[in-house]
Amino acid sequence: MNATVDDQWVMSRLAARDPGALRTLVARHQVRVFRFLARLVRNEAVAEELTNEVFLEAWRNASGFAGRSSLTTWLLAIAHNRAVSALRKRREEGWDDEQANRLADDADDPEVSAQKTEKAVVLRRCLDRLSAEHREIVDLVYYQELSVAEVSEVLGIPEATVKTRMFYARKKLSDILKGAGIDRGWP
Amino acid sequence: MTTGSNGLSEREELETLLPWYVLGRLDAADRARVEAWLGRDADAARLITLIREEQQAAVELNTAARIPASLTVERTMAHVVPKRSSPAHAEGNTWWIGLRDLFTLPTPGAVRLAAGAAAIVILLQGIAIGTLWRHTPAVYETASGQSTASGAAGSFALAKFADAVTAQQMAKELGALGISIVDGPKPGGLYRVQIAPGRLSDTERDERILQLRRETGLFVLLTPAP
Repeated sequence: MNATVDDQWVMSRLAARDPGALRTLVARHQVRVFRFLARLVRNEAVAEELTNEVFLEAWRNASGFAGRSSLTTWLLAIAHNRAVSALRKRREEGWDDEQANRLADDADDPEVSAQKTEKAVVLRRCLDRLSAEHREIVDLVYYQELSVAEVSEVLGIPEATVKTRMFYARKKLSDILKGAGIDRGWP
Repeated sequence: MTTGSNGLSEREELETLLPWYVLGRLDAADRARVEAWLGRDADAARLITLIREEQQAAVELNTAARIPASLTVERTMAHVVPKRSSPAHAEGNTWWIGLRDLFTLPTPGAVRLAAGAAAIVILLQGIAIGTLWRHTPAVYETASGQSTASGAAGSFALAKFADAVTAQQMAKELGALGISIVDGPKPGGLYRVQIAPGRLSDTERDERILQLRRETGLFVLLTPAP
């Protein structure tokens, strides 16, 4: 999706170092960017810090916004790169998603365990058990509602890879659901 | 069953498009392919239901994420455009900081425009006053008759007093503040005042001026003077 006239105007003002334009950008996109990052890095404080970094980078590189994509896509691409760096650093420090999942499981109280019997709850928990790469594409498609081309731009991968990555994320979800006792009959 | 270059069967390739079909984000050609498949394969419609369930779960997960109270527009703005980041701040040129902030602080457009216009007027007024000061011979000397040459010891400012301030009040308050009039009045009601007996650095001088502006109602104008 190309930038709208409004996007172009905001970015032209941002490139001219207009803090009012920055305020508009932050007010419109801050929560969206935070949620995207929070789901990926699974740490509220880190996600908040990265969100600020995303807008700092947008402020510094506003003149690099070519208008070929929407502002949302551009910001999410910056957020993706920030999250990848943070996750890489975390892996180097010996912290991985499996650890996070184990901690999340340990934190369940009896009430939460009882809720797991509901299919929707199980589905949400299984989505959360996907790898960071699969969670990311699922969120970009289902929550951010980006097109194939937009996801391709955010992740920096070919469109064909976007389609297959989403397909395999969904297959993996079905496998995890099956392990949790829910057979959806697909694939 | 044919297999494409990506290792997927033809049916699987169509399945890869389904999430975007449900979102209504496919181009016309792909949408037509999916609809043709849905028309001939009764099982395909069931997959649509699965995708809708997945999407609902993903949306619930995203919207359930707590937004921390500390995540505010103001904090992000402060992170991105810190007020004390320029060399001007490091040098303590507070008059410049104030002027620059008038232009850069995020305010609604109309307010910013008005503030900017006012800043320009003040800046031009300062330039005019400075020029006028240099080219106007002194018409007044203090009772002590002390020299008021620029090179004299002390730190100085140009002052214009508020109309409501009486001579008695002025004398009393200036004395209490340690300020003395060394020259004036010049055209426009301007006085040259000594704001400190010693030579202050630019930073100290600007802070002193800000303090005097804040703490007294004496001045309508107080700006550094040589």
